[in-house]
Amino acid sequence: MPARNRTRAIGFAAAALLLGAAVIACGPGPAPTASPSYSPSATSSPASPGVSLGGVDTASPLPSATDSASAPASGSAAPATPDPVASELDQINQLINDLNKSISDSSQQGGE
Amino acid sequence: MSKRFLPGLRLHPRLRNVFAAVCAAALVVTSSSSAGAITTAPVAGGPQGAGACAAQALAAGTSGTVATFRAFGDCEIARRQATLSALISAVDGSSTLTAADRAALTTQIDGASSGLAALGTTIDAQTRLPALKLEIVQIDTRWRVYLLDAPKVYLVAAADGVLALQTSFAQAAADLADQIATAQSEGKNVTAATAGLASMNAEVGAAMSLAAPLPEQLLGLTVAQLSAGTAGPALSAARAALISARVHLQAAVKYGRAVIVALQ
Repeated sequence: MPARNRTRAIGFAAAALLLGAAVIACGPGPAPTASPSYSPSATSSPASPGVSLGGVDTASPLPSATDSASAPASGSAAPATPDPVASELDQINQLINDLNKSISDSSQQGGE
Repeated sequence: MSKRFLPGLRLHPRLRNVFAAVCAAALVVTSSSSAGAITTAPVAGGPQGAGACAAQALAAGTSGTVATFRAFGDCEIARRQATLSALISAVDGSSTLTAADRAALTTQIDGASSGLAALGTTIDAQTRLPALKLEIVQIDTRWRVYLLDAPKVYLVAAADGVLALQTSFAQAAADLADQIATAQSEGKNVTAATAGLASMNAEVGAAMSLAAPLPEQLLGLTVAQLSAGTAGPALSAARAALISARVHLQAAVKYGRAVIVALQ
């Protein structure tokens, strides 16, 4: 390859590298959580832990000082643990509902 | 969520959400009605229906022969046997009946079934029409499957269901008392929570008082008492007591939830 062409090739390569670096530096735009079409979470991308999207590591964020003690370390939006007594009362309420059927059935036999 | 459940249904989003909510509610109702309580759905007149022997009754009334009356009697007995079989299944499948009450109900149902079977044998052997008519009348005078046996099964099951909740409420009350004690040790005001727990326990106590005497009372009801006019009011009173007990239990649940809210 002539020296002139080699220089041109190197120039294109350098330009391409610079362009790529600029794209990476600017990032993909707003934070991923603001995108309505994509909401990364620790559970949705288990195959790529630690991948940085827009400078924010959504796959494995470090717990901040404001995180509650019971918040999961993964940062996923797990539902709060229900009060065990509330669960007991829910079960009781279900059994009370079952009583309705027996009481109702007792008057639905008709005559002889 | 509704899109996921109803992918092929083209509805306005709001309508789709309403439809999904209705479907979910129906599922809850279906599941709740099949959990725990007696699951056999009663049909007026038994599983075969009250009109199961209408054709035989018409034939007996029209021709008035021994054969047609016998067929009518056999049909009425079979209808009751089907009901008694359904009641046995209901008793066996109940998760609320105590072992003693389950045994007592089974004995009573088996007794009715055996008696009706023996009467059926007598009817089939009868050749005189006046005697046959008297024996057919006994089908619903010696055994009261629909007015006594069936209501008794469901009401005893309901009463036992109320009484069985006492243990569950006791556990919930103990847990709530622990939470109140913890909150108090942390300096929180637990006045409302303490009052709520006391109200919950009072409601549970009222429900248990209403239900406690019912199983024995109901199991003791006899055909003679039904004929004398005392068993019918007793069944109605038991039903009313159980409805009242259920209201007390629902109030107890509300008070229990109020305690949880008060401690938050």
